[in-house]
Amino acid sequence: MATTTEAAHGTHRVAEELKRPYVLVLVLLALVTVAEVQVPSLGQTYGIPESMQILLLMASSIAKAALVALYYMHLRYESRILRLLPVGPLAFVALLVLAVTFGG
Amino acid sequence: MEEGHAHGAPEGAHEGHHTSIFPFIVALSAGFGFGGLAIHSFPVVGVGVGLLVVGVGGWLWQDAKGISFALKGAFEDRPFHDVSVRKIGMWIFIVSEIFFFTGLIASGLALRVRVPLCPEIPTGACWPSPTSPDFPLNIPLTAVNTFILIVSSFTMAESLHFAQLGKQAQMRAFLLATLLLGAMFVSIQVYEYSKLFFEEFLTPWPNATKPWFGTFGTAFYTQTGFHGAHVTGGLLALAFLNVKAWRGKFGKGNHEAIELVGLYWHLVDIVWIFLFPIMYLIGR
Repeated sequence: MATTTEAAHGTHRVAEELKRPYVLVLVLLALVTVAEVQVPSLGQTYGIPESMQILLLMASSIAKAALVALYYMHLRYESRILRLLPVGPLAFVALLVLAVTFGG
Repeated sequence: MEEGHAHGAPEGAHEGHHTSIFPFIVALSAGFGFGGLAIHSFPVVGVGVGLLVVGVGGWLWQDAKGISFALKGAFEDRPFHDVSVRKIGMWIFIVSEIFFFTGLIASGLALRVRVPLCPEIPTGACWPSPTSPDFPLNIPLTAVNTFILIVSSFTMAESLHFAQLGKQAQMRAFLLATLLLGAMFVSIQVYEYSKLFFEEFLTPWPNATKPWFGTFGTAFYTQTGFHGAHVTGGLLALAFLNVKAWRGKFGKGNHEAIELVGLYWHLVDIVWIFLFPIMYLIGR
């Protein structure tokens, strides 16, 4: 009986730990999205080069995607092999995007 | 790793295993559907759609009847030991989806880099700038829609959390909220499509009124349309989860379905996180 109670308590504790950053992640995602929407108009007002705007928007998108994957998809708490599984295709992503952008 | 057990406990590992033909039928439907599109044959696409309905319907029917599928339990060997087989399957599916959307977005980029930015008076195919007064897309509305999808990811994560804790009321409330937010996202997208199509004359092909937007329209509707179709698919899964949740089918030791649908839902959120700036905020 004591073991069952301990196990239940353990599951409860782990579930609480997983939950901890959910609201913070939501706030961060919302703030970054608000900032992203300002980039084109700010770029025009302050003459920020388009390449810099693209860089900013892609960096913010990568950061947002990482937050969702790490905390909402729980990758941060998964085993290393499961964390590596979705990282593998990212090399293909980078290669394809570079190829079509700068290819002939 | 202790944390893995909290949300990776396979359900019904002790049940008898039965094979299911329906996942195979779903895969077959994709083959017919996309093959039909490739050879421009609507009857073949129709067969694909028909098979999809049979496959998904049969799969859901089996699940509702409580018939367990093959390959339950957890991997016992390295490197995936102790991880649920179905979770590994979902992650492999997610990897395939990353490949799919990368190809889709890359094809849009390939079009974009070969077309100039629209001048004040366009004469040929061109790409509109988001700061131009003629930019056809509604950035504020879509920013709100983006926020809606992000919040739905949050509510999805919360519903899994409360399922892990065995708190039925909160789990149901957050699952319902996720479904409603997802439906809201699709509704706003449909509204935006109708405005763009009929008022802004943004079509997936060059039209007589604004022929220069043909290339942009093709890229826009292909990318956002496939994403919208994925969200709609997720809504069907969420509707099914909601029904099961209200029937009390999920609990502390039985919440893997919520986790797996959640993984898919977060994936469509991540895809939109990239699509939104690419289509709406970057001029070129």
